[in-house]
Amino acid sequence: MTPNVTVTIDGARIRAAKGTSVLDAALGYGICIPHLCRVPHLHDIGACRLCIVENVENGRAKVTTSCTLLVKEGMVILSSTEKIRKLRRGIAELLVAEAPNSRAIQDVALRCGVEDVRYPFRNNDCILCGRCVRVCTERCGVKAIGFVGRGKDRRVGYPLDERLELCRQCGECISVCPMAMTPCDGPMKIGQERLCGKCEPKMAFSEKTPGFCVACDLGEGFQCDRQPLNY
Amino acid sequence: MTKIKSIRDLQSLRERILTSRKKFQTTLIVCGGTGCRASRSRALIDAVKDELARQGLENSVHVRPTGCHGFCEQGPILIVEPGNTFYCHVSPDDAHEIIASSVCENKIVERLLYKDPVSGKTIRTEAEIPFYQAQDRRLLDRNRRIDPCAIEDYIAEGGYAALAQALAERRPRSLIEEVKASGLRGRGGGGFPTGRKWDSCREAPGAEKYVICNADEGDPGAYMDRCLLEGNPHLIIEGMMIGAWAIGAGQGYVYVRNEYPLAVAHTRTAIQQARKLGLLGRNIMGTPFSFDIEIARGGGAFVCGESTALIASIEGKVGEPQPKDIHTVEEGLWNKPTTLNNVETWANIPSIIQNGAAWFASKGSKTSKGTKILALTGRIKNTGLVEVAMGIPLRTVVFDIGGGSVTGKPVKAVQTGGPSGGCLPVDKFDFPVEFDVLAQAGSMIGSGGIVVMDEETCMVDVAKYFLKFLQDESCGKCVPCRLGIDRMLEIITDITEGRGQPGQISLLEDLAHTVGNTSLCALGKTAVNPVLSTLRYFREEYEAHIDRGQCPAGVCQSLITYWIDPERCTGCGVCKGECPHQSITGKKKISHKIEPELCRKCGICRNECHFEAIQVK
Repeated sequence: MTPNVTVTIDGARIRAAKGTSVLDAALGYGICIPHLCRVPHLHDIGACRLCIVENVENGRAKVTTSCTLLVKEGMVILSSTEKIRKLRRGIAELLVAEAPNSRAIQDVALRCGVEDVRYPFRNNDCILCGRCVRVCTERCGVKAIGFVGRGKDRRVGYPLDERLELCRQCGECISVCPMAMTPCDGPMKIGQERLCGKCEPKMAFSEKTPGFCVACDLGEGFQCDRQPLNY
Repeated sequence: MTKIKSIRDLQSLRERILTSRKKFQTTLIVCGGTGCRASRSRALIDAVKDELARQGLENSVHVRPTGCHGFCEQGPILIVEPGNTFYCHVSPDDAHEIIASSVCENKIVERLLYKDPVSGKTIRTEAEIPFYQAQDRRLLDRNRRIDPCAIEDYIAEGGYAALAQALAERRPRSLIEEVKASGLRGRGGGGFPTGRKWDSCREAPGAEKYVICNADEGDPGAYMDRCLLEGNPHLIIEGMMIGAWAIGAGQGYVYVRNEYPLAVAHTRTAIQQARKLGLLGRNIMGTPFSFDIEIARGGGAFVCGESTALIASIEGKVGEPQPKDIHTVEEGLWNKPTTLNNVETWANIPSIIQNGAAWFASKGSKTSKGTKILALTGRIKNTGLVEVAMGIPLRTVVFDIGGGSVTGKPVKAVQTGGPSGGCLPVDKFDFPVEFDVLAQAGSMIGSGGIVVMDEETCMVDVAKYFLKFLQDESCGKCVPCRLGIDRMLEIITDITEGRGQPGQISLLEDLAHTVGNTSLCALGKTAVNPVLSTLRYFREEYEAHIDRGQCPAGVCQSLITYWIDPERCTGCGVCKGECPHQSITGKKKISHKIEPELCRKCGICRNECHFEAIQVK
């Protein structure tokens, strides 16, 4: 049996198996930390940075992603401070401005409290969360797709841009892609992108960024395992 | 040459080399660094050798091609020893004259001597040149005494003695204590105490450990690591060996970018020579210490200077940073404890061990000890590499060593620390060159690049330049860095092209806050420094761009217009002839005019005008 450790997340003392990530420990307990690039049981790369938390060590708080941070005995984590919420909102705003044409991203933006997008919208098809690449590599063991290029030219593609025999077209990559969920009103055309915000009434609280699980309807976008309650 | 099997062997080899060198009465030192090579110093070396052969002097005059001396502005540099006569801007055609008068007749070639641009005086020796006088050249001074491709030169200068001392007399723990006591901090930019890093690495469990030398220098305008690796590779090898002995590592890597062909070649030669002498390999100098070094060549990605990306690159993976929740001293290269230090950090180790921590700490400020090599570039008279004691004010570096502005326009700011650093205005020039003070001021020492800017530099444009650089160099893995830098660049481009909106400054600050706090690695975290520091010290320039649609420095093309001052214009017609767009009209000897519709704002006319009649508003 793996030994357990005790960590404090937002004041709650949580026991978790050694080797668990802080994000998993928090989600398991019912503390809601927004996340996007994480796929359960695959290794985490910390690319979307939405799951940032403050890790308090020796009185100093360090901002880091909870998906890559492993639980350690006596760790103190703050997942929903004013600072973290503001930073998370900033990241969600960047994401939704880049790719508004996805229900998942719109949900993330709503959940993180984005009220207004101050950047011009771009209608991109990919936010490079890398979920597809990791599923293909780790779950399917195929490695048919990977990241190509660097920086702003980075994209997901086949090696040398030619589909390999290796790819069995199993569709796993599509099933985990947050961009595969179109907004409720159908795809937005170029020039008509907007912050959807339709699901706002679905939030159980007027405060859009509660630190605990409110069994919201938005879990699909986060790929949250928890089922929404039927009010 | 036989292998060195004991410390006594090293001493006797050194004595043999020194005896064999006694036959040379004169030494001609020619700088063969990359800077001087660009101004034909290789041809100069050949010409000098040919000339010596013609005069039958090969056996009494020694020619020593060396690494960079630092004063790249004046290259190629040739020094005649004894006497230390310093010749600059030497061309291959001067070889005959130098040998005929300086070597054979002990006369001085006046026309090749250095002329001080400030006082206008001619100066004979290196020591008298103001550029060198304010410096503390502990590391750089060794370059001119050594031919980087000859291990004999390094041993003759007392090289590998520190290693011998460390292996024979010191226990690894006491070496770490010595480095800790010296107060040496990482020279690559982070400024982490080297001794503490070594200590954690030694304490980390595991029998297999690694040391890595980070020579992936990528800051625009900075080349101190290149200069050290090119000019004195054995110094770095010796430093790495001492470090490896201290932490218990058996293998080292020099990660050097392939764009530095000379550094790669010299390091490779040095490693081969050290292996041949038994200084690398099994049971070095008859002790139980075994160690070897390999070169890992990088593809020139800026992000690979980040420790985790560098390690991934050595492992053969894509050079992308990893989350640093577990430090590399515990799990680094191939998940083994790894100590990664910058070239300059390693270069400081041998002298700390040989002369003691107190000697090292005698220079420098309270929190930053020792000397630091800075790359001085920009609108300044003396560009080149300078080594100064830490804690000296920026003013001394810019005005005393650098000689002040080259254009005659007053100096406005310095940009320190490359793309991760920030800009400091002239009223902050009393700040010492020190890790903590500069970091607090919103900049950093970084690897030591100092770019001097004058009144004709637009600070918004500077921020834009660095953002563009970082956008190109970002690996694109994490959202804040990839999208955040892109958006910041978008906003700043809007501002410089006259599309600025009043709210954009606060948006920029907000975005910088997000990117700086949430990025995965130090590239993204520090990418906001150029923006934040210019916003902090030069906010009025941003406001001028946005509110008044003006670029005070006259740089941003969309916001400026060229016009001809009729009082100064003599109607000579030079500008009219040079304008590629035929936008200048006017008759001979009558003041000319620029047609704004046709002008493309290239600035050629302004450079060509002898009367400063063409102005920007």
